[in-house]
Amino acid sequence: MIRLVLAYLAERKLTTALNILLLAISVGMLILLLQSTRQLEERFLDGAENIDLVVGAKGSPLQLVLSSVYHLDQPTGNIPRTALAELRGNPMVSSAIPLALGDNFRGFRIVGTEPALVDLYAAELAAGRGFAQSAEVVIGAEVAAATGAALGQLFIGSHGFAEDGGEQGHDATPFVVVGILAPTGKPVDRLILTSMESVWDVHGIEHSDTEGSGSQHGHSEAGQSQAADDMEHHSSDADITAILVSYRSPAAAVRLPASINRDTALQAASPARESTRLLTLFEPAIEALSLLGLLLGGAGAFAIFVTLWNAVRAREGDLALLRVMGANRASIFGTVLLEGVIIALLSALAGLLFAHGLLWFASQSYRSVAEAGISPFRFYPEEVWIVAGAVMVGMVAALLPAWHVTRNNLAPILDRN
Amino acid sequence: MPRLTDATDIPDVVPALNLANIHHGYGEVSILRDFNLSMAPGQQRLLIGPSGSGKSTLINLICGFLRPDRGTIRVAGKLISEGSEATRDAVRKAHIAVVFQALRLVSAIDISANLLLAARLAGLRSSRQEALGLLTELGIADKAHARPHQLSHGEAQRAAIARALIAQPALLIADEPTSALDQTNAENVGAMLLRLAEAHGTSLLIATHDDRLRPFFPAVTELKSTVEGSAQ
Repeated sequence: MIRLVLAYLAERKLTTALNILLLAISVGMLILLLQSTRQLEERFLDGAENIDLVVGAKGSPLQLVLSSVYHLDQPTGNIPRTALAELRGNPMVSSAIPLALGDNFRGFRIVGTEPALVDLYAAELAAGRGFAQSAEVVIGAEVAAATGAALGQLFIGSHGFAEDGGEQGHDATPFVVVGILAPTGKPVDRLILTSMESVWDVHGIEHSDTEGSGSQHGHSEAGQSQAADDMEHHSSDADITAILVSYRSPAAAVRLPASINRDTALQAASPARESTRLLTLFEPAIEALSLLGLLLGGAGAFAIFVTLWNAVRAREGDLALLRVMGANRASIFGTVLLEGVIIALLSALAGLLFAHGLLWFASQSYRSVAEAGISPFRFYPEEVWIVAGAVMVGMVAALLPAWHVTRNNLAPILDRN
Repeated sequence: MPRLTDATDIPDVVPALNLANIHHGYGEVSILRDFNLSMAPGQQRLLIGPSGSGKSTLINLICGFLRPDRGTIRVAGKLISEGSEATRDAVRKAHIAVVFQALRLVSAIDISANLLLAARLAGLRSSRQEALGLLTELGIADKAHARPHQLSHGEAQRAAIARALIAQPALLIADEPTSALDQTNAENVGAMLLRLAEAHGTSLLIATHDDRLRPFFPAVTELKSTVEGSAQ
């Protein structure tokens, strides 16, 4: 009977394809929404897991969090190195890790920081060792995979965060890869970590061991033609871009950000709060798209119903014949039901492929998608429910035609010539 | 009104078909009244009558799609005129095959698949080889992979006969098998059905209005046109 059902579907290829397409778009859209929201949520939650507060230059708190925690946006500016010492001296602070941003290698950000950042993202070395000397770097797993960089590899960083900023390379001061991190699924996978001193040295900025005492020479005059570039580049002092803070106690969450924002020229932003705010901004769009997906699902179900209804009416003679040849009502009912289920199952599988294929295409084609850490190869249990829901839709759409055909009075149908 | 023409009563042999005292009608119109018919296993019989004489009604009654108002119908000894639908389905599935005037080959699948579908529905595990053997017997082996619409009427009719025979029925019913054929082809089809029924040990009941088939059949049951509310 399955072969017969498949033959019926193949007999009307275009209608079957249209039915599959309609429901597949619905399934694909729902899976796409699920994938993008869940992956972004996880990315935001995991990425900021051990970071309670980000301190940086005044500006948009969301921008500060995105640029310093998730490495997705431009920094808000630089802050003096003295801020780091002040925070470390604050009894409410458990740890404070500085970041110096501004350069990239093939689009992957070079981050001047301290070895403790690796622990903050709970990353582990897959090969080599941590950076110790100036110009030594530890690269994230995705950087290693994308660039093919191995231990001992030399490379030259470029100004800015965009891959095409290579015309302003730091030719005189190449970096050397001394360590490669194991994959974490966190932003650190896409980072090139080095010491603060490395970043300053590359830019020819003088610095001393005493935090906050640096002075510049030789870098700021090079390639400063655009305002946007200026923002990306380091200022003339041995400044830092941001500080990632962990609280000593939960009580600090109330007092520390407020005091920084109120009493200093710095800005303090909570990653958890900003992430939630960002995701909340997407909620109406996600809900609207979900509704559209469900409406398309309804349209797909109706299309299957109309198709099967017309098919069983056109096929009354065939189905009556099956009864003559020995099929009972239940198997006739099952035949029509199976047709709906097969259409729905093919739609669900096509939708699944479509959604993951689109994610793959987007991650290959759009840097922002890759930077957001969206992977086409992640699967969620909810996808099984979406597929099961689509199959149920096909089954429900086929119920009435299936019931109708089993109610047929066979004698007059068989009498027709 | 149709009435008993002849009935075969062979002691100790279960008839392939037995209709006893059948009454059936639609509202005030009586189609069959006190109708009796018995066919021994392997017997071939012509059921002849004009349009409206009740041939189709009789086929529907024998297949269990209609229930007689009175009387009993047994196929291979199994009661098909009474009982649940499942019971009647089971009797039909095991013992009856029909070649319809409209042939009703399933258009979505090829001829060999039509045969295998019939075998499966009859509960048999016939192989493609067996199907091909039957098609060879009927002279259309080269059409095994053709779709029904690619066949001539004659080929399609032979395919429909092969599909009926592969189910190994105790009773093969053919409804108007020669209606659209000229004299020569009608005689050929009649002869072919008789030969195949005999070769396969199947009882054959042909329902027709075609008098040309009469000389081929030793056993003939005549149905006459009905008149509303009464019998002729």
